[in-house]
Amino acid sequence: MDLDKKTDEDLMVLTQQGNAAAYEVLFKRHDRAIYGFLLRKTRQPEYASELFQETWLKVHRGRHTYRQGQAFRPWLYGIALNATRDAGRQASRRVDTVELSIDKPVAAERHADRLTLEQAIDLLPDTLRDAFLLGAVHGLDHREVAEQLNISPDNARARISRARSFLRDHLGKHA
Amino acid sequence: MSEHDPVLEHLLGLGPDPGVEALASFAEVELPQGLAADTLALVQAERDSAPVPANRPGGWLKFVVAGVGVAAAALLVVHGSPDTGDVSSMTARGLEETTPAVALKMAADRGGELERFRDDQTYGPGDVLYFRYQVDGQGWVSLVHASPQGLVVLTQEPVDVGEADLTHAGQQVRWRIEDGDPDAVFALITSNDPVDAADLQTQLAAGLESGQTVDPGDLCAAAEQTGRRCDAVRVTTREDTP
Repeated sequence: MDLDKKTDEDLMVLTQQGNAAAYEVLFKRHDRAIYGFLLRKTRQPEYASELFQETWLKVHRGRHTYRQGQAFRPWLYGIALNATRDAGRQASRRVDTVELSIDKPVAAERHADRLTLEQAIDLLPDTLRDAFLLGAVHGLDHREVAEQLNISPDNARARISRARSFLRDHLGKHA
Repeated sequence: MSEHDPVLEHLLGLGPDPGVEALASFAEVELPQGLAADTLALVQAERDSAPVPANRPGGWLKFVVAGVGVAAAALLVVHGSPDTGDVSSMTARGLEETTPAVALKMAADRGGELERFRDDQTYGPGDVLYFRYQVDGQGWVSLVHASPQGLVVLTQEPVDVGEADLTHAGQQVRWRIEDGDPDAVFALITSNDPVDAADLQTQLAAGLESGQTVDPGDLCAAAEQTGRRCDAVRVTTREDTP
């Protein structure tokens, strides 16, 4: 069975059936994206690492709560998002910032632009940042973003749009 | 922009979706060295039901986890269940009962000796409380702490049918009582899917009077009004150890 060719949803069903290799394929397929999401959410590498572990442990422990046919990525990001919402933990954490490193080969000018964008994302209000990260950066559709944030799809679309407008203004970019 | 960057243009709403692979160049961030291996090892350890070398979530004020789960679990079994009743006979009040029934069982470490938690006793600074659940279905449990100082969801964990210690990241959840802690209520609230902790707090708080000593029954009634099932225990504190 070539697990690499299977969809996320098929792999998750196999994971539910106890297939550890399927879980690892899912992990390796999404680990960097989930870490990127958590790092941009928290801006604290150690905290993001802690939440990363918590997220993947919960994927394992909560595998029986995944419903066949359910889109995997929104379910996964829902678990990650929920991990960041633990109020008891957030309350005791110091707000800090960290500069994200971009390891992909990009031109120097692009690198600079992307770092500027990172800094601007950090300035977004939480409500806009969550919608922007989930929808624009991680590719969830408006309905999926809405479900994760408990808002309407129209509201999700509006938040992403407002976030983009904020970022354009901050970067001095206009259509 | 200094140079045409389709990813940046898309993120700013100035260009079309460049595709998943291109977007990944921004969305994905390399993991710190060892994080992937450590995480997979944690999961494998859980699969094997072996003791888990979990990442301690430092920075929590009082809510911490401890690596004494096995011992605590054994003692809880030896000492028997607190008077939380048999979950099979528990019924939720309020709306449709669709989430797993739950019983909260607790133990207390008082000066190095682990014993069954008793709600007719007082607990002082330095005492440590441990939590154990029994559920009749798969789902999630949220551990909630409510006191006159506020209500907070401490953690939310997936659970399977049966009885087990409440763990977080592979280690047992515990609560250390500190100087000045008021009386409080701890509750386990079940759900079929992960719930937004902030939403749950808001929903529960809406059903309670703020600033008042919370009653376990009132807290569970507030939970059951949201369609979730609950079990709660009051912890009475004292200022000094005897």
